[in-house]
Amino acid sequence: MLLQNGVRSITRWLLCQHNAGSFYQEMLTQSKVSPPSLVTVMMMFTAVGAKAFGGTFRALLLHQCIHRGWLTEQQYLKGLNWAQSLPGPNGVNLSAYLGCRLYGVSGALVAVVSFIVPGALVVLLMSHLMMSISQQPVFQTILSTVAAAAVGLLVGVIGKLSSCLKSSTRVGVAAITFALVGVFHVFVPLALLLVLPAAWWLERDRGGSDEPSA
Amino acid sequence: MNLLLELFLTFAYLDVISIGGALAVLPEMERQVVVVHEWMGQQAFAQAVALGMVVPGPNMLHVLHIGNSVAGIPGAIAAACGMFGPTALLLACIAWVEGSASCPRWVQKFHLACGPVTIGLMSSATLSLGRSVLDSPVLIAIALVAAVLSLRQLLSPTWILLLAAALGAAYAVFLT
Repeated sequence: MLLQNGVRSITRWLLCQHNAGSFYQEMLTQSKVSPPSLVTVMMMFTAVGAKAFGGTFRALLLHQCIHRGWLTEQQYLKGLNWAQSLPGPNGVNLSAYLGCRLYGVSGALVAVVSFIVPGALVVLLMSHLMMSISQQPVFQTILSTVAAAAVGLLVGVIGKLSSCLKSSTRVGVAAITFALVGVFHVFVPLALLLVLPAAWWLERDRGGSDEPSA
Repeated sequence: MNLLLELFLTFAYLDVISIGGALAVLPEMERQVVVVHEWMGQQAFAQAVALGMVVPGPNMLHVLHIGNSVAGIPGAIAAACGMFGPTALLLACIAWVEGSASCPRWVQKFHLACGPVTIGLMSSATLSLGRSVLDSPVLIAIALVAAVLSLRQLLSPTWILLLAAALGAAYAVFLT
């Protein structure tokens, strides 16, 4: 009992952005944050593209979208739902989705291109030099510490988006997916095929009523 | 067949079949690039993949290197358009439909059902990344600190990454 309470209060402490989430939502509905301009979209995605090592684009984009008041966690999760369950590199998929939500079709094009360009320039530069600084020990150490921080950031994203799992069935579905893919190494398409219909069935009596209007 | 068109179509095919993350398609990409089209040797392909992993941005940026070594800059652009174009277009269409008023009801249900699955998939990706990366106490400590800083929103992700890079540089300089 004591242990349970302890775990709960620690989780609450770690997930203090529950309040933050509703705060942004309020900010959105009350003050009507003006939609971003195309230049803002371009600069935001270029900056994220230049920093997104090892899957951290999820953390960087989530931070940008929430802090600028453009999207709520739940709306962001919708983008991730599509980006991760459909084929294609997740980062590009998510950029296309978010770009389109933020500035229509031209926003999607600008978001994808500006997300790719910084890394593409580095690849082409190295491709032309035909030698890679990735062999240098200093670079190797920096890479490993950045990768470690990336793991931490991903834990942060999972924690933040878990606030959207409001029922124990959903926590269960997340746990089963994690067990299948993470622990038993089930091939991802197969896991999706197994879990998605079950999750769909579990939501049968909910018509999307507890979704905030997007 | 025109080489650029061939590059585009090959990578577009790989893009469309890459369900469950781009890394799942690497074996098929190796077969296409090394065996079917003989654009590269096995070792050069492995180096290309390694290059793709150390640059920022999305996975699969090494297709630019492959395209570049086959047909120069136009080749790189053709490969990138193939690898990123089709699904990006699909996602933009989805976002467009979702933003409009006539969004079908099953989409809402898809999100309710898929949200937990997405979080589960992300957790397992984090676990496998953690397993391969966190091989010393220092790195585990960095990951823990980064997790707490980002969960408590004490620092933005950019600063966390920059601090980790600075720490790595200092570590490398002082210990060697």
